[in-house]
Amino acid sequence: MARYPLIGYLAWAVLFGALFAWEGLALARVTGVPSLGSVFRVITRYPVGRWALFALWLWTGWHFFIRGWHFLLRA
Amino acid sequence: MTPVTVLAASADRQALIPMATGYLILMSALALGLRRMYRPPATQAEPGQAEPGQAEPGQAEPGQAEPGQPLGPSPASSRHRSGWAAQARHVIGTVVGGYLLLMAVVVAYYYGVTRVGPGFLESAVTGNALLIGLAAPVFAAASWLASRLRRPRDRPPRHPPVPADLLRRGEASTARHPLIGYLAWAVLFGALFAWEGLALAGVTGVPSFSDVVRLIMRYPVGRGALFALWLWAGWHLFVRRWQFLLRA
Repeated sequence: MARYPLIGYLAWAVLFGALFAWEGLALARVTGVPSLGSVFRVITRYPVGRWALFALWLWTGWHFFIRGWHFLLRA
Repeated sequence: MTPVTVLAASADRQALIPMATGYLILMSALALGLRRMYRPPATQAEPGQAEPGQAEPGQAEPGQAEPGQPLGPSPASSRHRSGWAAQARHVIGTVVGGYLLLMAVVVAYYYGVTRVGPGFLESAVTGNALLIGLAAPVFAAASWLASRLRRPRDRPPRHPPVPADLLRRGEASTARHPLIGYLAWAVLFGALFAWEGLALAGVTGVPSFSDVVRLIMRYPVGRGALFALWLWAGWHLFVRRWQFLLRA
């Protein structure tokens, strides 16, 4: 496994922290902040969006739990 | 050693193409949905009838096929068909469509971008089918459990909850938010994809998302938690729009 500077991992933590913070605002019902569920509902409104989201979810599972190989994400 | 490193780096860079494509597809779907949601009504709706373009996200207008949607029973008729049949039809349609779309992307990647190691296509076909097979009973059990927990004790449920996509306007709990709120999500996900893109491009000091996940999965607890999170996400998104963590 390659070693990277800690700041690289911290950047990921910050990015996901921002996602969770924004979702937290939505769950706290701050005006004008849609939840992630709302965004996904907009995406899955059309069949193609549903298929794309399902394909992404399925690929994620395959990549991380089945194959562990670098397709889209470096393994 | 060096050729292997070069090959890996090359494959990573080639992975940028499908990653960017996936982001564009998702954002296009988001843009289409938002356009429909915020589009001003073209005609005056009759009393008691949903106005075109005003339906809530995740809902089709009654009796009207959406662009890109195969013709079939309208959401209105689906509503009357509410219950396990409608739920099953909705889920199966999503699963089959998503699986075929993923296979199309994988095949296009294999023949159009790079021919990666042997067994790649076979692994994609069988591995993803295996995942669906593993997830299906879990989803069924979770749905059954959720319906048991939520129903009144003195009355057995007749129908499972109908997916929001099949509900008419006013029946789903979706609220319209200012466009800027959705754009903020797009920017946040854009930042994630951009950071991953930097990692795939081989920028020094930038770990890929897989590197982060691999750190988490070094321990059984991390692996289990991540797999549970993945399962839950799939169930929440595609099987049952249930209100837990993510507001449905």
